[in-house]
Amino acid sequence: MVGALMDIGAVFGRWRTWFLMASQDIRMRYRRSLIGPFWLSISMAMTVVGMALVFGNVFERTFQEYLVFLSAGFLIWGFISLMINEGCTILVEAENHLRAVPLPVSVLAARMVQRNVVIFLHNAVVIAALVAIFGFTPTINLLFVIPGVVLLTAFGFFLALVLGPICLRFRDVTQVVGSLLQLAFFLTPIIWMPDQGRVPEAFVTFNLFFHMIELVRAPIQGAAPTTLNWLVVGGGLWVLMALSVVTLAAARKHIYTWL
Amino acid sequence: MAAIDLDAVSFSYPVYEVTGRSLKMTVMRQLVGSKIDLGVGSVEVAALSEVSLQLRSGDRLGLVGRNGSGKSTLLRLLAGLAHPTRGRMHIDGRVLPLIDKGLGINVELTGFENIELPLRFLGASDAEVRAAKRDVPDFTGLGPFIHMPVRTYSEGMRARLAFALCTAITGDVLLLDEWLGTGDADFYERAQQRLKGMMSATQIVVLATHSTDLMRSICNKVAWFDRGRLIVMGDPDAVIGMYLAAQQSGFEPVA
Repeated sequence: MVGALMDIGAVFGRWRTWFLMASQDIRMRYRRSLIGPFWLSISMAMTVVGMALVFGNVFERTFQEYLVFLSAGFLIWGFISLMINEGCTILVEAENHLRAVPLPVSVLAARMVQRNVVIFLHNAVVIAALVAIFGFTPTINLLFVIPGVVLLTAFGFFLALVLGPICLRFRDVTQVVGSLLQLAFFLTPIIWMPDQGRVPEAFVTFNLFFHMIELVRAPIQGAAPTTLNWLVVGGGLWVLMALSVVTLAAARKHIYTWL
Repeated sequence: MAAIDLDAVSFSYPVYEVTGRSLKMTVMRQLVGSKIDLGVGSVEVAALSEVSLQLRSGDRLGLVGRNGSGKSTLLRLLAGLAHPTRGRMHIDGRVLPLIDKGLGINVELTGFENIELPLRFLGASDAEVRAAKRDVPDFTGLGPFIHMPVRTYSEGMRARLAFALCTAITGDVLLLDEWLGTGDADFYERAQQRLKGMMSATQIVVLATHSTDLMRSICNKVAWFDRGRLIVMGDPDAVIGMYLAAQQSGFEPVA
């Protein structure tokens, strides 16, 4: 228990380690390409424009209104789902290092989260430019995206502390998580809009991912997130923190033998 | 003052079959009833049994034993990579583990860009990283190559860089495994000098090597391991003599 808390606490003292690892990850991903980080963002923008041209009509919304909804949803879903997927592999991908030096799990989780925050910011710039071109004007509520993104980042960090050790011990959990995310993408209002009444309301109300996305999407669309959004995600975060301490307490000492 | 205390430390680890790594198979086994195929998922390997030893400042311990006798496992426990299954282990001081090559050299980055991360892995402070950035380029003698990607390096050049990084900071406890290669011949002298300097600046050294000559010249204690047990620990000449004699006669020690 004490060891687990010390592991998590190490994320502060050793920030230079994970920051450096994340910077190298980003450089590796984009090396030798001219506009580097923006290729993936541009491809996301293309997808969003294409889908908005078609589905705006299907859902009977103006192109601009649907474009903002869809691109905000894609942007945030990309951030959340990448953190969850890669949360599974934080220990597996660091196998070489973990055989040589003891590294806290929290340092490897923070490396993954930091990497994805940078990618998210790249995407955000391109998406912002896209919606600006089509006449989007933000409101003062846009400021709510800041606490929203901070909360989602913390969520990704603590979830990685739980998933990392589990996926190291049981290698097929990574695939299970990937498939579930695929399912969650369609069950969550990202392409379809939650206020149309065509999908049972339970899909929205009892969907953690909906509340996570709303924390950032609602401010982009000009509204403040609801109290329920905050409560669900905040409560989920507390549960995750408790789970991460339990997981690390149980798994920390076995990591080397699971490599 | 650095100190190492091991009290009846044992370490065993499971070796998982392919199915043991699967959550589905593990759950299925529970459902079917573990009586049927207990142990199918993993086999326990006892790598160290009931090892007790004390080291204090000034001690240089050499480890001898056949392959698989537990020398490397002991180093991994001391490094904090693995944790004792039973028994107590206590270490005072900063441990510098140089026992594996996976120290994080990224071949796509230049030699210079590769200085910081391995040192951060070893727990280097900001000041130590700054000092290494000044010192490593000179010491390796790589010249302009220090600003080329490591993938363009020859084997010898890579060995130089790895050696320079590993010896760029000092700790209280130094753990050394065989691998610390030094590259080509003209680098050898400088490397030996540096290694000597590093050892004298370190309070406790634990060294696993097959070179009994090296061990005799450095160590003041030698421990002989066989099948995870500490057979005997004491004066280097005496223990190495016993170990070599046992190897020649094919004698099996009984702990």
